[in-house]
Amino acid sequence: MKKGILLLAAALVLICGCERNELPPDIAETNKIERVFSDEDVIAFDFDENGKVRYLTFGKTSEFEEYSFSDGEPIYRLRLSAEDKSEDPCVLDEENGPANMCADGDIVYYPSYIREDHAESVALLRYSLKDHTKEKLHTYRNITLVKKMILADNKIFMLALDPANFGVGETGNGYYNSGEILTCFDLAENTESVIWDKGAVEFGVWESTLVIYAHDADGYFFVTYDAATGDYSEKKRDDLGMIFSFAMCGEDRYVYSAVENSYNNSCVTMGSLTEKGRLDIPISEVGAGGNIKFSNGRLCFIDAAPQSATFGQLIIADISAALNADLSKFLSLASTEILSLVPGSLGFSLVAEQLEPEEFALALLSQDSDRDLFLFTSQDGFSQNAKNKGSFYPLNDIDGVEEYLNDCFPFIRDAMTDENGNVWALPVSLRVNALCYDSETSEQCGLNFSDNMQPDEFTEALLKAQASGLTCFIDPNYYSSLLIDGYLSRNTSFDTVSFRELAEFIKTRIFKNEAFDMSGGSAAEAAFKRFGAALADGRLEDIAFEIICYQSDFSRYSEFPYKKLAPVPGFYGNNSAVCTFICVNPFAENLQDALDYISLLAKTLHNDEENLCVSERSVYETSEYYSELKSVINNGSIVFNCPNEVYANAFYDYIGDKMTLDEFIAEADRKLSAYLNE
Amino acid sequence: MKKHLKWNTKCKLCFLPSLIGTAVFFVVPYMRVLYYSLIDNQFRRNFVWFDNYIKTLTNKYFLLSLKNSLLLIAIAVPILMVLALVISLALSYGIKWVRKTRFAFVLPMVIPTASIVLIWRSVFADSSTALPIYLLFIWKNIGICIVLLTAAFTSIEGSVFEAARLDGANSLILHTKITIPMVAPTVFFTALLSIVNSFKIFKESYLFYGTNYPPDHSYTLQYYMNNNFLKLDYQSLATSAVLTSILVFGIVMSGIFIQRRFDR
Repeated sequence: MKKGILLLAAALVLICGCERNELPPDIAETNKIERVFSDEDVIAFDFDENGKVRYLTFGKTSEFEEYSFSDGEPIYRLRLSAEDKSEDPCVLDEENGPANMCADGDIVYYPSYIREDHAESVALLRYSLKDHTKEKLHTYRNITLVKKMILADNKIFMLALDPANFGVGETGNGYYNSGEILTCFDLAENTESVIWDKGAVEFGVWESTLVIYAHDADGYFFVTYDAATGDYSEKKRDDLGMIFSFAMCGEDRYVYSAVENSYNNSCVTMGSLTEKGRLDIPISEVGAGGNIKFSNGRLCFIDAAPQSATFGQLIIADISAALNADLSKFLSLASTEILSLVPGSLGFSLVAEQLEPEEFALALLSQDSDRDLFLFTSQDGFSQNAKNKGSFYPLNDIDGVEEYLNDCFPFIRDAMTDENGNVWALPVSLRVNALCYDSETSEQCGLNFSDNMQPDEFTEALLKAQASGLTCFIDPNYYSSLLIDGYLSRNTSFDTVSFRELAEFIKTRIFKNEAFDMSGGSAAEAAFKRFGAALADGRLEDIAFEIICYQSDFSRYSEFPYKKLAPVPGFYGNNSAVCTFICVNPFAENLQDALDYISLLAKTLHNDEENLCVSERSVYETSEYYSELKSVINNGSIVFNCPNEVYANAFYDYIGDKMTLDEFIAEADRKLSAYLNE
Repeated sequence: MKKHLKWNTKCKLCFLPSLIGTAVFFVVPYMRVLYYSLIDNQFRRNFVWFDNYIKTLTNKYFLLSLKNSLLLIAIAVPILMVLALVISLALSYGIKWVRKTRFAFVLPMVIPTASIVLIWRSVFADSSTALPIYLLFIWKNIGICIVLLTAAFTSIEGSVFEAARLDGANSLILHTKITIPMVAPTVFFTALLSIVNSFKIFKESYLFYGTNYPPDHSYTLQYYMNNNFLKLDYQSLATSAVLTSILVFGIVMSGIFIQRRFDR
């Protein structure tokens, strides 16, 4: 009997032990960047299994002589460099060549635009690094732009644009065929063939199998092509959306980068042809960009959005730790935010979906167990009720949450805690408005952006700056909404003396002020054009002042020693902030995994030096700029706003003189009262 | 007897899918909504019994929406019924110009709501009263009312009238003693259908005003429920839904009661 009980107890212990999944590996910790080449403008590359990289550049941007012009058309010298700098760079082409290449030992293959028989064509060239000889192998008559090329099985596969294929198969139901085709050039037989011409988007190669990602009128799909036998598989429907780049990293696993990748695009996503589920692989702070190639556990790619001034950094990252990751640990996340704001998956298969507010409310209220996590912001009209109605799993006892919240700014901590002391959500990111100004030029023009600046002083300063030819822009709609949000953070009625003053101020001193008048030839328009050009060219140093709110903007301006931060001038002395947060569905099907994810996320966010929610960051001690940023955030307040819809229509009718002030206030107040009291 | 029972069983079996469908898609969800109206929220689930009802019945916006919904029933439905009756009679009697325009009456049933609202917005620039919504409701529902009432009128056998005329009945007697009693059930049914449809005028109203907060005169129960749904206030939503269903049930039962009294 005792033996039986012991056996039963042992079995129970085993069962319980097996039930609790091990925490997923912290993929963020294991995928380290090995090398970054930031001093060259890389446009194409190839690398072998030993990690040897050869890459194509336009030359350094500072070397102006690398560029020449003929008949107004730029001619670029394509320069090939070796990763280890053991070889001198050699000029491959002085023509305006399609920026692509692939390599096989000391042989480099690359395409080049040529004009043959009075027609534009693309030539395939071979360059020997041993004897520096160049040979034309083939002329493609039907393609104009080479998007990607891979050498495999002694064949060159090329994804390129075929103008004749443009629009083929379109039926007017929204399907768009950009005309890309996948071709194969057999180096042994010197023959060209078309592998796929039905909506090819991307492709990758694993051994002799091509995996093609394409789309037709019914959506995106994968199809494989066996280069040895010439056989095609059936179409396998899988919608990754529009992707930037794609590479195979195993027999059935692939990595890709897309617009919808999370971590602000600082990751690639792994998927499988046979398994369900996807895994985001965060790669430090870089944005995984175009032309991904994989070899021997390493990923090499060109960063599409580098922080430095170079066009494209070449980055090699070791992702071997993620190659055998479990893709079956699903977490489903519903979001009202764009998916690029969704935090990283941290080793889980995080399937995120952006929903309209109505759909989101339905998902939350229906207690749909299919949704494990909900991501929304304090701007969403229902966020206050979500907090008050207890539509969350309390996160108080989740490992790492308390430590993270304790280090967050107090107003964030308060907003994440309900009246019963339950932590109802985890803050993921913060947008806080601040006036970023150039202290040098401001001083020269006699502008004084103090912490106590009033809105009327601010509009005067804007006028003065425009007259002085400074580069600046303040959006009247945005600034007005900040002023009204500031008012609503402390009031529940529009029918007050102070709001009447505010409304008149907005109308006369903002919308009817020449400082915001964008009509042709005005000083404001000229300042705005200068502002737009400076932004487009990345000349942030030229911008005298603007209102910024994103972490990326704060980081970008921090590089300049004379940039300073101040609160946005308002009437109510606080900086309105918008917090994005994540909460757990108490009825989630994968509740334990969701809580494990929250624990990992809390720890990751806690240690994230870029996270604006955390008040104790070492960066705040490093400069006056960051000290000012801390002060601005510290004075922030999260307001669970009423939607702009409540007052927007009447407000613009008032601004457009279709309503009197009394009518506007009566209408806005009626709606606000209904919103607050129904 | 045995054969009769077998027939009964067959009838019950035929009813079963319908009963299951009604239970799954109507009764069970309704019971759940009823349950939600009695608890503090659907996550903590503490019973508060009638607190939500007291809160809702004392909420001025619920009362405003209730008043507006009842006004729509009291004003627009009778007008709709009278118009539909007159046009149906004209169609039954074969009045030429009415017959020629009969297509126009069913047109609102086939035109998409968004198109109707577009026309309405161009015609009714002034939205200081609920008149556009009342007219929109009448125009949109008159087609189905005419179809039902005309079918009722034309289904009366001509021989019944002929027999009455032979017995010396004049036009007034024919109407009061034959036509009205024979079409009364359809009239009641059409009126009830219109009342129920009056609760479903939200989509048209929402598109017309383009906001969740229309002028006070057009703020109906659907707005109240929809806005509470968007604010995740499930208890207010559930409570007002139950109260609305009680209201509709009361109206329907009153209609049936009146009809039975009328039949006697």
